[in-house]
Formats: sequence, C-alpha cells, structure tokens
Amino acid sequence: MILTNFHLLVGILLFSIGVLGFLIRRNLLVCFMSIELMLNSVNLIFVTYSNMLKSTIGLMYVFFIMAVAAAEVSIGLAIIILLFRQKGTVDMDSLNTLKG
Amino acid sequence: MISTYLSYIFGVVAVIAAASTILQKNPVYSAASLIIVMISLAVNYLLLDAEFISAIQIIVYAGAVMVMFVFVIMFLNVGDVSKIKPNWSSGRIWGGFLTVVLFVQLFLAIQTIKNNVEAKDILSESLQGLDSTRMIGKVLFSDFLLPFELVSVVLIVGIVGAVVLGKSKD
Repeated sequence: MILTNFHLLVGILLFSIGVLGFLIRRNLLVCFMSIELMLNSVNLIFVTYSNMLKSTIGLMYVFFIMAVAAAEVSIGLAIIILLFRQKGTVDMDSLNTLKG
Repeated sequence: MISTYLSYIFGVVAVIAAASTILQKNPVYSAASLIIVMISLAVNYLLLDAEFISAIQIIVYAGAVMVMFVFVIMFLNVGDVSKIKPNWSSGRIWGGFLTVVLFVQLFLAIQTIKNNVEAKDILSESLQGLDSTRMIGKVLFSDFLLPFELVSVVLIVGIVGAVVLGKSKD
C-alpha cells in the first residue's frame, strides 16, 4: 500500500512538472516534450491502479494512449517543422500572428 | 524486497530526470533526460507486473518517439534558442503558483480516491491466473476489438497527415 502511494505520488509529481514545463518554457520542442511527460505520468497512474485493483482495463487504456501519443507526435513535429520553415524559429513568443 | 527498493530508486530517478527535462537550456539535453524518465517508468511498469506495457514503453516511447524528437531537434538545428531575453517573469511566477495549486488538488484527489476504492477482484473467471500479457491479448481481441481497429485508423491518419504536411509546395 505504501508502494502504491509512492507510485501515485510519482505520477502526480511528473504531471505537475509537465504542466510547469509547458507554462514556463518558450521553446516549442520542450513544450511538446512536457506534453509527452504528462501523458507518461497518466500512464503510470493507470498502471498503478490496474495493479492495485487487479484489473486489465487500465492496461488497455495505456495501450491506446500510447498509440494516440505516437500519432500526435508525428503530426505535431511535422507542424513544428512547417512553423520553423515559415518563421525561422521555434520560440513561442514569435508565434503571435493572431494577436495582430 | 529488492523490487521495493528498485521502485523507490527508479521513481526518484524519474522525478529528477523530469525536472532536468524542463530546466535544461539545450533541447538535446532535455530529450536525453526525457529518455531517462521513460526508461525509469518502464522499470516501474515491470515491477508493477505489466511486462507488455513495459516492453512497448521502451519500444514506442524511448525508441520511436524520442528518436523522432532528437531527429527534429538536430534537423532544425535549434540548439540554444533563448537569444531573446525573457520579458514575462510575472508569467513564470503565475505558472509556478498555478502548478503548485494543481499539485495540491491532484494530491487531495488521490487521497480521496484511495480511501473510497476497495481492492476487489473484478476479473472474469476465464482470466484468472494468467500473466498480464496473456490477459491483455485476450481482452484486446474480444472486448476492445472495435477500439483496436479504430486505433489503426488513427495511426493511418497520423502517417498521411505527416506526409501531407511535410511535402514541399510545388
């Protein structure tokens, strides 16, 4: 039970670190890595509860999250490459076209 | 007993490497730290009796996804892009404050859920005594067959979208 608590604590710590990285970093690639960090922390919490409740459903959701994350990374990195071709930078503060 | 110590060690390693991921100036170092996070999480999955998830964590995340990240970082040659001085330190302070609030909320939520959930065996009879890889196989191709097929559509859309976005305009 203490070990389960520790795994859940690691999960929410990783999620908070991911949110913090997304908020304070301005490099688009590092922000994208923070999103991956958040997805991984959710996976850890799913696996922990799945182990605690002796259920397979949590493992299935981890499987689907991984598949969606792989598709998301391929699309997102293609968009980042397009942005770099247009703007010449991956700094988030330079992407302010909509603000006028 | 040694698995408990391994869980603690790799949990702490994962948190430290995650902090290193968001604090490094160079994106290549961030990517390397993120690989350490993912391998530590794979070890934790192995200790939580999820061998299949551990294997595909290594193959998909530490293998495919991070290789793509490192490839794009080196392809764009961004290196240290922080040439412009940060002009929104108040935004950083607010970000840190909101993250602490979020952490406290998640912590309380986990405490509440933990007290309400009782561990009971909700597996069906046919899945008793199997290891987790066999259970995943049996459930994936019976109860989760439709989501499994839909995931293949999502991956096709990802492939086609990346190719369409990446091709040159002519």
